[in-house]
Amino acid sequence: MIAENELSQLTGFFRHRENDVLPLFRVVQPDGKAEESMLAHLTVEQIQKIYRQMVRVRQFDRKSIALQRQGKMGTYAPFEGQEAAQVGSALALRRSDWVFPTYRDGAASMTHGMPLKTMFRYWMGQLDGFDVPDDLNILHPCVPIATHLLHAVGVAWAAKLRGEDTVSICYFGDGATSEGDFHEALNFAGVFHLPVVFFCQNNGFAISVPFQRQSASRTIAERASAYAMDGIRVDGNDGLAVYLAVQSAVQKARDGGGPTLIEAVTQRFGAHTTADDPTRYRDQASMDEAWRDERDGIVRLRRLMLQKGVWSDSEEQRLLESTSEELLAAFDEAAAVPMSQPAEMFHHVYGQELWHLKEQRQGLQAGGEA
Amino acid sequence: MAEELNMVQAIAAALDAKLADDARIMILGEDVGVNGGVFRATDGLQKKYGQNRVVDTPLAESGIIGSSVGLALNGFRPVAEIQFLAFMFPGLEQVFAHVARMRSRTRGRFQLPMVIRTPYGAGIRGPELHSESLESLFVHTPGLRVVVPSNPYDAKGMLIAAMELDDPVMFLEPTRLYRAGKRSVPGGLYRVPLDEAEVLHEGDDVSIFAWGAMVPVAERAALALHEERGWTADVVDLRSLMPLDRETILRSVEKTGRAVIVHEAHKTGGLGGEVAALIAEEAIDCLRAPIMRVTGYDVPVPSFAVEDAYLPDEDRVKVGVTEAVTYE
Amino acid sequence: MSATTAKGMSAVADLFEFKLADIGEGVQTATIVRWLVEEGQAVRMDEPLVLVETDKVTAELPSPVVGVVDKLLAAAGDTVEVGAGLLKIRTGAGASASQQSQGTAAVPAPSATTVARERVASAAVADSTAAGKSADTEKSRASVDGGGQPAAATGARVRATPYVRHLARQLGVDLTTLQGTGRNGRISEEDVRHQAGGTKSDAVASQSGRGTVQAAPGADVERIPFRGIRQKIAEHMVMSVRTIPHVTHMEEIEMDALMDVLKKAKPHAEQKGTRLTLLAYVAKAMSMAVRDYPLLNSSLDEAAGEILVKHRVNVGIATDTEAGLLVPVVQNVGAKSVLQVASDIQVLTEKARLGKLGLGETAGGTITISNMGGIGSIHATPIIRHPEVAILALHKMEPRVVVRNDEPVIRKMMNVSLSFDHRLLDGATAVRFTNRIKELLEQPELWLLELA
Repeated sequence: MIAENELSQLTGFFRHRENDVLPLFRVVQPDGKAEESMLAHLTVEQIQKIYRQMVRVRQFDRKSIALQRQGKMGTYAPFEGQEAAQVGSALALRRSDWVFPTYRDGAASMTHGMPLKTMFRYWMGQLDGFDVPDDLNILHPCVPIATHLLHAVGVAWAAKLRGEDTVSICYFGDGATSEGDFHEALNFAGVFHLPVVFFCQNNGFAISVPFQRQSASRTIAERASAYAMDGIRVDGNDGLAVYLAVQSAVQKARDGGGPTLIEAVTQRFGAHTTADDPTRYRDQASMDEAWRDERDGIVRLRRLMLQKGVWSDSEEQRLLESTSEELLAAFDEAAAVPMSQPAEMFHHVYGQELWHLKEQRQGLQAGGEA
Repeated sequence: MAEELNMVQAIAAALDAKLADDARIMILGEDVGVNGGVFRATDGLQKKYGQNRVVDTPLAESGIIGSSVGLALNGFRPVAEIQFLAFMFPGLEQVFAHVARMRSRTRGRFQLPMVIRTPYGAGIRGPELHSESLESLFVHTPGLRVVVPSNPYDAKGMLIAAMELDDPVMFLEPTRLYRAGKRSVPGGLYRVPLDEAEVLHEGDDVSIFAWGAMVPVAERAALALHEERGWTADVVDLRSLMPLDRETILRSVEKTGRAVIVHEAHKTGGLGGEVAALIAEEAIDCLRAPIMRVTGYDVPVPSFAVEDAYLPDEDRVKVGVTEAVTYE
Repeated sequence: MSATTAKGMSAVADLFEFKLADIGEGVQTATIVRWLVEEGQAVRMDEPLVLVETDKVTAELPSPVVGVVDKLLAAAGDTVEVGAGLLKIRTGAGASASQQSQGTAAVPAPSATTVARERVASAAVADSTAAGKSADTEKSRASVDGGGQPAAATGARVRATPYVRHLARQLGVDLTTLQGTGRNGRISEEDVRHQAGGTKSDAVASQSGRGTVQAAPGADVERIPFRGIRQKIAEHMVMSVRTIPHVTHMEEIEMDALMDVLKKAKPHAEQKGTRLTLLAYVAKAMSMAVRDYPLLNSSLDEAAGEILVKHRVNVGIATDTEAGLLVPVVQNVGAKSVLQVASDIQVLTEKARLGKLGLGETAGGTITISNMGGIGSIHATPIIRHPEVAILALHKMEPRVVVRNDEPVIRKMMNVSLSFDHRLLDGATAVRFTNRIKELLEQPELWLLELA
């Protein structure tokens, strides 16, 4: 038998380098200090836009938890802590690009244009919460993990076959990378060289299971090479880094350069959902102010803007107030819409209502006859 | 111009006709391109229409179905071939969670005009997991249309209709009938409705309902019983399993008062139970005998040394029919 | 269920809706033959409004109120469900409606599924459907359980297929009173039909609704759907022949003596409003012959392995009508005079021709006569009305040359054909039975011996 130390000499042998971890692409440090050469790719307006949107969606997130606790919404999956990853990525898209989010990607959805009212209605369990604006190519949250990656692949495939420069992006977590569909989607995208961006938010936990239990490889980004695609590992708490990384991946895709796997390393501050108790699987107390301060993408970007003199406390105050008003108005609007009618469940099952559905619907409407 | 074609040729003809007719039609699957499909249902099509329209995919059923969902979302009308029904298992999540639900969960914003074709059923001495009949899984999934042709003419006409429908269609092709016989099949485009059963023979004593490879079995049994006992039977090829053609089913049972359902899928939870329930709910006053089911057994479809014993045959159908007709 | 619905009618202001009640015990639908009134016409109490035909009877429905016909809710040829409105009558301000509603309070709750398939077209329909269903359930439960009737004393569960139960409801047959002849004592269609009597039940026609004549253009052959009554008759015949080994025995009877008697008696009968016929004598002679050969008036209970010998001789009179073969039954011929039998036959055959036979008038036959004389034939092999065991066909009576005392003479001769169930009856028994009838018909004076 060939000795262990001789293996690396063999032609065709590949040794995994355990300690050779892919570093993070980062533009802004936790203290607000930034890579000036990278900042040069951004305008002040772009930075402010990213910041404003991050603040807006965090307000939504907190408001949603409150509403759930008040009994006004159903189970909700909060994303606080992941705003930089979601907002930074979604703002790098064109409106015509396709977005495939999960249930924790409300920040990305809203950033891409999903109305707040629809977002509320969705979490209120109303059927019209599944409405998609006609001019928006976005799907509502995909619940079965990783299955939507293939939809992004198919959509990108269609765009490519028609010679369009539309790109599709799918959002997923670290847990999704264990699913077979993750592999199938990346493999298809690689084989057919498709304009799709695989945007993974590695937030360290799939509900309770930490990333080390999810994956033996230390990073997700490194898997890109197995599919002959580019990959990048980016600081998911750095909205500017995420924005730049996604922007170039998207542009490359538009230009026919094929898919990219992006790993945005981040964390969720809160529970998996409002039905989850994170203290059962992690030391939530250790995630204190200081811990969060170092990781919070909003804090980081505000520091940068304050240091650069392009943001002020009064602007911050105005932003918080206007966002709060917008949210209240949106929720009031959502709450004012009548409850979904039972018969609506029968709509759109098929293009044309089949006889048995018609009878069941009429039976329901008539008051319960089978 | 009509041609004498067997079922697999008729399917190829349908695909050919629609590929020529509609640029949005795309075929994808394992070995469908260069090889023309393991049953040759796509023979010659890649050569004719190119690699972008007749695509050899990686060996990944979820990938085939999931990417078809995306293609359909974005303007194409994909026709996915799954090599054998049991090979669809990795892709069932896509079928159940997305293919069936897309129109409903997007409230009509997105529809999935796609067809999933798959050979199914036993009787070709296939290896393990090449012989399943799991149509009831799909019938039990709202949002899917489910059809099964039993002859070359229907196969082409129904496949064309399926490719033109804006809802996803599970198109189950009885493998045993692929080359079971030729029939005159018109050239070009024609459609066979996707919601109508066909009454193949008319009679008075009993109604025999079957689909797919069980149709010729039911026909032979009916013929034999006519010769031996003088009984006459309605033999009904259901063809469309979702939706069921209620009118035809009930009209027949109301006439004969007796129903026998023949399918090769397992008995328990099989679609025969649904047909029986429909009759019981809506035509019970007509029943002169218990509704009989003649089906495959509730065992994993066995290896082919004994698959003939697993499958309902003429004799088993005759027993079921006799039980119904002589019940008094 | 509202009270008005339960009563089969509803009075809205002065507008009275006349609904189809169950006029034939278990009848579900009726077809409108023709309207006897028109919109705008004044109607008197009990004035006939409409002629309807059901599975069992054809009947004129009289008006339960005084008023003016406001609207006809169905057209001639329509099939109407029990409980559905037939017409609306604008009534005066009188109390006639409430009187009438009491009068019809016993009408069973309607099952108002106007078209069975459109089961849930509206809330209103669904409601009444549910009401109708529960009523149905009640009804069938009552019949299954026997409702405490002594006839159900065995306490055993009634075994019958849904079709047979449905048929029993339609024919008004209480299944608990029947002993099934099928496997495991199951009550068969024939059991029910036999209990109900006559073949008028044959009108329980095909429900397929595909009953129109279709002639292929240019074809020499016209295709007439084999459905409905014809099909039912056929089923019946096939069933009988399949079950019963038929043997037919023929005899010729000299009728001169009886015809003389008949001729003399006729005016007497006519004075009493009765048309005396040969048929009455034959029926009566048959009942007398049964006294000597009781097995001819029996049926076979295969399941029980028993022969049921019936004490009452109920003679079915097979009658050819436009609607098909009908068999009204003259009950208990043995206990009736020839005149009474003649009167019964007259009433029944007339009703049969008019399609007005009532329930019970086709029920309970034990032996049958088929009179072919009017049409003309010399012999036949009549098919027994299962589960009866004999049927006697009468053929054309004609003058024939016969030999009497070695001399050729002309006599009024009539042939008869008796088919019998060879399982129960030997040929000799059947011949003796026929001979007994022959004897009685040829020698009317023998009848005096039978007087009690």
